[in-house]
Amino acid sequence: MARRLSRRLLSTYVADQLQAGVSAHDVMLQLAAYLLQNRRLNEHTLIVRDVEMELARRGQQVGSLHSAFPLSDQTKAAITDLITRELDAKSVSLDEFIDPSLVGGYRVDLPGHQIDQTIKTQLTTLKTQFRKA
Amino acid sequence: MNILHQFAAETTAPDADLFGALGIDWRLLIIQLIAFLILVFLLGKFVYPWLMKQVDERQANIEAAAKAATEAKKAADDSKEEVAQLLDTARKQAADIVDTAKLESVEIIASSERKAKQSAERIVEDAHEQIDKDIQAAKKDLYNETLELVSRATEKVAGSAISAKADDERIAKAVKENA
Repeated sequence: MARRLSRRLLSTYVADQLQAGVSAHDVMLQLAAYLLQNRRLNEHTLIVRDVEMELARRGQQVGSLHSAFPLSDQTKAAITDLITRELDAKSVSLDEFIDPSLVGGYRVDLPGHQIDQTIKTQLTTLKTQFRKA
Repeated sequence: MNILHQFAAETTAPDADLFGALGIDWRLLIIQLIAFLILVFLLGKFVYPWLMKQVDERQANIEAAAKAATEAKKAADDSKEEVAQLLDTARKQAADIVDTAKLESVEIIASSERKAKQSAERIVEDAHEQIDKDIQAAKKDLYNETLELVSRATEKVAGSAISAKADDERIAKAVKENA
C-alpha cells in the first residue's frame, strides 16, 4: 500500500512545480487526480491554502483584491508595491473581485495576512464601538 | 271441749253464794282461766316471740330504709353541689378559653395583615425594579436599532454618493499614506 503523503509534502511539491514553471493547470490536475484516487477530496481546500502559504514563504504572494468599483492600473500597481514592501515579497499575484456591498475602499486577502480598507468595515467598526452590550 | 261443757253443765248446782248471785260459774271460770293461761303460755312461747321478731325485723328494715334514704338524699345533695361546682369551674374554663381564642384570633389576623402588607410591598418593589430593568433594556435595544439603521443609511448614502473615480482616488491616497 502506498505511503500516505502529508499535506505539507503535497504543498511543497506543488509549489516546486509552479516555481519550476510547470503550468498551473497541469499541476492542479495532477493534484486533483491524486486526491480523487486517494479519497482525500475533502482536503482540497486545506491543501490549496498550504500551497499558498508555502509560496508566500518563498516570497510569492498569491491573494485576492476586493473593491466596490474596478480599480485603475495605477492603483493596482500601488497596492502591489505596498504588499511587496510590507511582506518583503518577490512577486505578488492578486485576483480582482468587484463587490458593491463594500461601498468603497479595498480589501486584500493574502495567506496569513489581510489588508482591509473598505468603508463597510469602517462603518461596522464604528457601529461596534458605539453599540451597547 | 264437749267433755268440758258436760263437766260445766253437771256442776250447775245452784249455790246460793256470790258467784251464783252474779251468774258466774266458778268451775267454768277456772277452766276458762286455765284455758286462757294455756293460751297465753302458748302464745307467749311460740307466737309472741316470732311476732315480735317479725315486728322487730320490719322495724329494722324500715329504719334501715329510712337511713338509706337519708343517706341517699345527702349523697344526692352532695353530688348536686359537686356538680354545680364542676359546672361553675367548666364555665369559667370555657370563658377563659373563649377569651384566649379571641385574643389569639385578633393577633393572628393582625399578623396575617402585616405579612400580606409586606408581601404586597415586596411585590410592588420587585415590579418597579422589573419595570426599570425593562425600560433600560428597551432603551438599549432602541439605541442599538437606531445605530443599525443609521449604519445602513450611511452605507446606502455613501454607496450612492461615491463614484468609481472618487473611490479610486481615495484608495490611491490611502495606499500612499500607508507607504
